[in-house]
Amino acid sequence: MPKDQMEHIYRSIAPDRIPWNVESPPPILRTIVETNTVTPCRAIEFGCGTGNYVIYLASRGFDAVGVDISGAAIEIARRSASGKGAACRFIVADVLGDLEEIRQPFDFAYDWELLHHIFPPDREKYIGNVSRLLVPAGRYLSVCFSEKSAQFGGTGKYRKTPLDTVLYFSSESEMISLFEPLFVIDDLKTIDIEGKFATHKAVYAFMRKRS
Amino acid sequence: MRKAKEDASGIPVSRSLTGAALVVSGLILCAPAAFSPAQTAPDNVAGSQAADGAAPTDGKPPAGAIDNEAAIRDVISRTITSFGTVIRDAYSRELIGNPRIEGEITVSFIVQPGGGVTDVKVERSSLNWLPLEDEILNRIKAWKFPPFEGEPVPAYVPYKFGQR
Repeated sequence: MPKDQMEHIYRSIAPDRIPWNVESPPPILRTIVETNTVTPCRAIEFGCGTGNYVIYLASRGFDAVGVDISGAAIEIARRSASGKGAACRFIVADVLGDLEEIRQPFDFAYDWELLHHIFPPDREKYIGNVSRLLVPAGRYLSVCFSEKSAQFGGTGKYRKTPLDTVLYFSSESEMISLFEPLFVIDDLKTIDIEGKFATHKAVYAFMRKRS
Repeated sequence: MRKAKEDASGIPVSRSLTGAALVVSGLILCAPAAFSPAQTAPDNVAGSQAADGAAPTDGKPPAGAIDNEAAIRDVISRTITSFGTVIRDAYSRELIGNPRIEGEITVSFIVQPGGGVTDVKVERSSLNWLPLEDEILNRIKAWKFPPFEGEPVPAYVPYKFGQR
């Protein structure tokens, strides 16, 4: 997930042309919130981009924080939140760093289409950060592209996108191996998620941090 | 080069007034803005706002409390300005861990007639350092204002931090 590449994308492409920049929150997140599976609490999105879902959570009463490696994305997010009167906060930070910018514990963490930007050698570090920033039994939702996806060439673990980003396509068993040391997996499945230009197969995992 | 005097924490500061806002400049820019009527107008503030549990007499002002609207706003404004030192102290402490912190934060809260503070939150921030934001919120939650008669008063206060 090269920082310069993300910065270039957010600075050179209109937000409505960035494939993953969808304003309305995904139905899965809405269901979790609107069925009170997770009630208003301290929440953090890793890889929040322009902050659409963080703003949504703030509108639902969450003390919501968004983190992204791109300063350009966070600038857009802050402007958007300010324009909508949303009291939420955004931090420019590398989720693979020490995340000293954050420090406070959260009750709910999620990443939506972030993990496929993080390759296997870096994933333990990232998941460790997520775990460290969650309270015991804190909930964690992670959704990333599945190796069953027919997009971007249709085969292979690493695939190049039209934006020249390279993504890693995961399997359910990989997710279990990655998450289980630190989380109790309550739900794991392969689902369809609607992208701006296509439907993708994705691995969905909903978890609790081990106490 | 202009030499700034030092405040109690040993940090060089200089002070000047710009319009209604107190501007503290030097190593730290910390400008708790005084209230404009629009910022503190109690319009649309629900009378059922939960009173601060720590407020005296169950959130109700005692006899002799300030009851003039202009005076209330003036007292609240001056009290917030005086609390600027508390915010500056929070910033000074966080600078030890990260000397690069700078930016602006706008916080909002509601001053209850009993003097307590509720609904403290960050409206917007470019500090990029959550520990400082949280510390600012925690410190504001502990503020106590002189009791007054009337509706709760919402406040929006921008602070600017920087180094030079």
